[in-house]
Amino acid sequence: MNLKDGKHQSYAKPASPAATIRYACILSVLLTVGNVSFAQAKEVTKLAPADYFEIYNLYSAYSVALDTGNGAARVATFTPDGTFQSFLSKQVPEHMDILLKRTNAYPHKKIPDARMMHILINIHVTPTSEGANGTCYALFPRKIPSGHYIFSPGFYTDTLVKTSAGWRFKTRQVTIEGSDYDVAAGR
Amino acid sequence: MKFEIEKCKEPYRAASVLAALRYIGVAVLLLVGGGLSVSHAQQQMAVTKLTPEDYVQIYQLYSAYSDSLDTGNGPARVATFTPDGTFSSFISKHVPETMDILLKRTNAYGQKKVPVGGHMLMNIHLTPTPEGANGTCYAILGGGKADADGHFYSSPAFYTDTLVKTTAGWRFKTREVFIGTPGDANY
Repeated sequence: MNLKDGKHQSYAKPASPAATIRYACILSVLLTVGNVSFAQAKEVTKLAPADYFEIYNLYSAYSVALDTGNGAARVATFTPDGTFQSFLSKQVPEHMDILLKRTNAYPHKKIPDARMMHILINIHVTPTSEGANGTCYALFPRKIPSGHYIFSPGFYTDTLVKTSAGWRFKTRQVTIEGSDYDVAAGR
Repeated sequence: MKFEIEKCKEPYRAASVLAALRYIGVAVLLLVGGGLSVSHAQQQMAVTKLTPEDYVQIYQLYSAYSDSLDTGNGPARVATFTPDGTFSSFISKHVPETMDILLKRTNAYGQKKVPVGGHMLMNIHLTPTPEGANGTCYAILGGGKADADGHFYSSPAFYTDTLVKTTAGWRFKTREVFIGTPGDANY
């Protein structure tokens, strides 16, 4: 039908080179934007092996940063809007500016030593639609007058998100066996 | 009718050529973009990223180190290092020791079928380097005999390592351990 009434020819009219380039560019941009949008909106329903190792490394980086009094490095394991809560804050979430200040006030060391160590073990990670939930056990050594060390047990509950810079803590909460507030709260 | 068909062919042909050019243009843009991404990813992989397989192999290496040391197996402990590797601790006053010394001392510990207590390594943290990786880990060093009350004593410790990937797998290039608190006899 179109062939006869000439409409077909207008469909088949060749595009100018400039229009061709314009279409190509628009298509490229749309494809790129589409991919980026998809990546940002992508929900984590399964963790890849690389995700697990990045998260394990994140837990270790947290301990080393805290135990060397490196506030910037400790805060860098969280998202900027992340929160931390412990017996120190009566389990009220604290923002990063408070965490930065408190961590920087701890002794600055090249490597951790037994004056403050956060030994994290038994890390358990569960994927969620927002990223992952994590838990781990912890041991906090303390030197007693006899010169021996005893270890207080603790437990962390975390939420994590995967950012463009890698996995980060969104929230962290630690419960320490024997800490006054946690004992009083029956934790 | 024939004329009309002939007439139609030309625009079709022209349109086909231009359409082909358009597709080629899009394809070239996509390929160039994709190619750049691939090149970029390869560079990152080579220099700044450890694969999940690397993490697994390195975690295995840390465990193999403890197993061999705690069973008094000198050759197995030395096999976790490169032949020119070094180990430093309070025993050597933190002067790097070569593998022949480590082999001799480990063999002198007495052989056991399985470790009991010993070197429990955790919180392994790895950072890729151009030469391989830097590693740290926390440790709880136990073992020995129970006291009169039946208690076993343990000390917290911290290892700093450099690792290289050899044709035989990942190996320690250097290891240094710090036990307890600065000022302790065994630090």
